[in-house]
Amino acid sequence: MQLSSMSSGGILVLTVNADRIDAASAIHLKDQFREQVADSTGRVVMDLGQVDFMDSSGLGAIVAALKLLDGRKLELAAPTPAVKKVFTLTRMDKIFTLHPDLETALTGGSGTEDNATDAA
Amino acid sequence: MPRDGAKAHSKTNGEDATRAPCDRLKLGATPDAVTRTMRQVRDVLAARHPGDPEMCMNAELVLAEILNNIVEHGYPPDAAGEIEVDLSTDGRCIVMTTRDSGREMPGLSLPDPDRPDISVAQSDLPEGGFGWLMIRALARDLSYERQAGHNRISLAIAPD
Repeated sequence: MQLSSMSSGGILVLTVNADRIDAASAIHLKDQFREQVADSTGRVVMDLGQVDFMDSSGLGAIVAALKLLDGRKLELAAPTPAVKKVFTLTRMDKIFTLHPDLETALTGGSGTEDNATDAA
Repeated sequence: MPRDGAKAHSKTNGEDATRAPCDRLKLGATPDAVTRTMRQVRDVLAARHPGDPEMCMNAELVLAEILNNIVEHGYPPDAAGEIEVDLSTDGRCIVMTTRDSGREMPGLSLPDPDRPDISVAQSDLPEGGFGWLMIRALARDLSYERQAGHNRISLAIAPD
């Protein structure tokens, strides 16, 4: 699995180039994320558009990634239904900002208005 | 087409209308074998239940979590044993059974942990403990049996 990065108007966009984030690939996600955000200070958006399967290992890696940002937010874009389901079942959709697509993430501000549910 | 690490054996008896199609997959208890097997499982379920992608999605997630659990807790590291997965249907639900010869479940029962507390500070967020939560949310008729050195877990996933 590969995490590629690009910068868009000061926003760091990390794209997960894999169709599954599971026990075999979760550790690679965390390691690559750590490398990619090492020098970042602005918004970080992870594009999950290619990922059509994620299990609790994958969720764990994304939580670990969030913790690497030392208090900053980690925004997620384009979660597929299977991925969104994991966030909903675990209520982690209240912890992360989930943008429906990358364009919304990049043009819509930090996205607090994109969340279908507000953090209680 | 069965791939390295996962062997599939299809048993479909067209002459006996009461016998549901069943696929048996075998894999070594490693994360990579689980990934390969889960791709096969997706194909099998999609072909068998084309009208209910949500049910297939739920089954895929539950099975992945159970297999991960066996890989991580059932066998000692560097001594990965074999896992058998049976996929079938009762006409409505997806029925799945796993069988392995790893160590027995603590208390001879399936974990039923409390929901991890996520109302904590960001730096204290849990990175694990979600697997059984999701299994129990999505599966029904979840059962565990220990017999002759083998673990057997079976469950059903209902139509969406």
